[in-house]
Amino acid sequence: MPEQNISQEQLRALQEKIKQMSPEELKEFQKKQCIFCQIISGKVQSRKVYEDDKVVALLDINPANPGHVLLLTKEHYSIMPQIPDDEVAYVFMAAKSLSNSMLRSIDAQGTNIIVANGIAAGQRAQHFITHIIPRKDNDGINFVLPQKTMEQGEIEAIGNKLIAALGGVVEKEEEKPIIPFKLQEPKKKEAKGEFNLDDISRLLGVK
Amino acid sequence: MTTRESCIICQIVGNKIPSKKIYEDELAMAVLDVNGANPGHCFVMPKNHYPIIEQVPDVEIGRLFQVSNKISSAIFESLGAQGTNIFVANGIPAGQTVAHFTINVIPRKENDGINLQWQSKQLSEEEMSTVELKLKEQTKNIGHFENEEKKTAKIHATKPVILSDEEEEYFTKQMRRLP
Repeated sequence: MPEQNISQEQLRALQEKIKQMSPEELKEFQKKQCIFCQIISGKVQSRKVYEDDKVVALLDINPANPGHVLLLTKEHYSIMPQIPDDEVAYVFMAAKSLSNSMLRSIDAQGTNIIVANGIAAGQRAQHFITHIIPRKDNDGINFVLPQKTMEQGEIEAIGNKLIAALGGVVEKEEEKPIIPFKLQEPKKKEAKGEFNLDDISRLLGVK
Repeated sequence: MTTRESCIICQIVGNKIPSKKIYEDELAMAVLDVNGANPGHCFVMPKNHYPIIEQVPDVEIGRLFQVSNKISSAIFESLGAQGTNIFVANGIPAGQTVAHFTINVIPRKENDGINLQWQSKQLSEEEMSTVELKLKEQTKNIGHFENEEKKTAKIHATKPVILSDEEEEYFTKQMRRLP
């Protein structure tokens, strides 16, 4: 990613250019700029600990703990919602195996698996990354998840919004489960495109 | 289905504790966290009782993270989030508090008080090489994933198998301290 000394005008031009791109063009544009795609192809050196036809796992050069692994899809995606279902499943099957490997080979007493989608969530790279961090007691890592209290009405409202967005059906009776829906159904592509474009341009540093 | 009597998540799955469910299928369930880190914070969990990720069969792992990803998209679409985190704490030193594998899907906004960042540790080249070799040696054992969904009787069993607290496998020793 060019952390560039370019003028405001060039920045605007680039931003405009990105806005005009189709999702496919944008993906290609991003891929060319992506350091992780260069690592995957071997153009940039790394310490790979696992590789198959779909994913690569390598040691983070700035690890939270020794053995901190970055699990990458070989295909370029910038955020998780862009990834097809079967590949999502595959990535996390691999993450599970890597977590298991950490417990067995480097005396990890636990692991964290973390994905950040978007800058607000702490994403720093423009390639989708799953972090797998080996943990030990008192290792100095302190993730903060505050507990916020929600009103019952707010819980219902937010829950129902999510159910609707998931394509589910809100049941009248509390006890009854929601009617399951098919996972593979393609849903609201254009809505996804909107936030993707915004995120992607921000990820490129062209706010 | 395998459940454990003393497990709070199993009680939520079994409708013994009320919750705001947002998704359910034969393997997975997702509920809204009432004391979430942000409004819209969801838990995705297997209906079967497994304390840690290593015990969850691949098929269920696949499903659980697909559901998490759908919820992440739904959070972007319907709650106006600026980002999402998928967060798993596996084992007490990692911050796990309930002995039932759970995936957190967390909506994010800037300056929302959540911190999932870390200070990087400085390792020598030698230390990096040592950990690389150890992990590489172990990951040789990673074989094929059970990507095909098996229609086993276990999944569709009507009577849940109740596990006692003693029936835990050897590599869950770490979990024993969990409530």
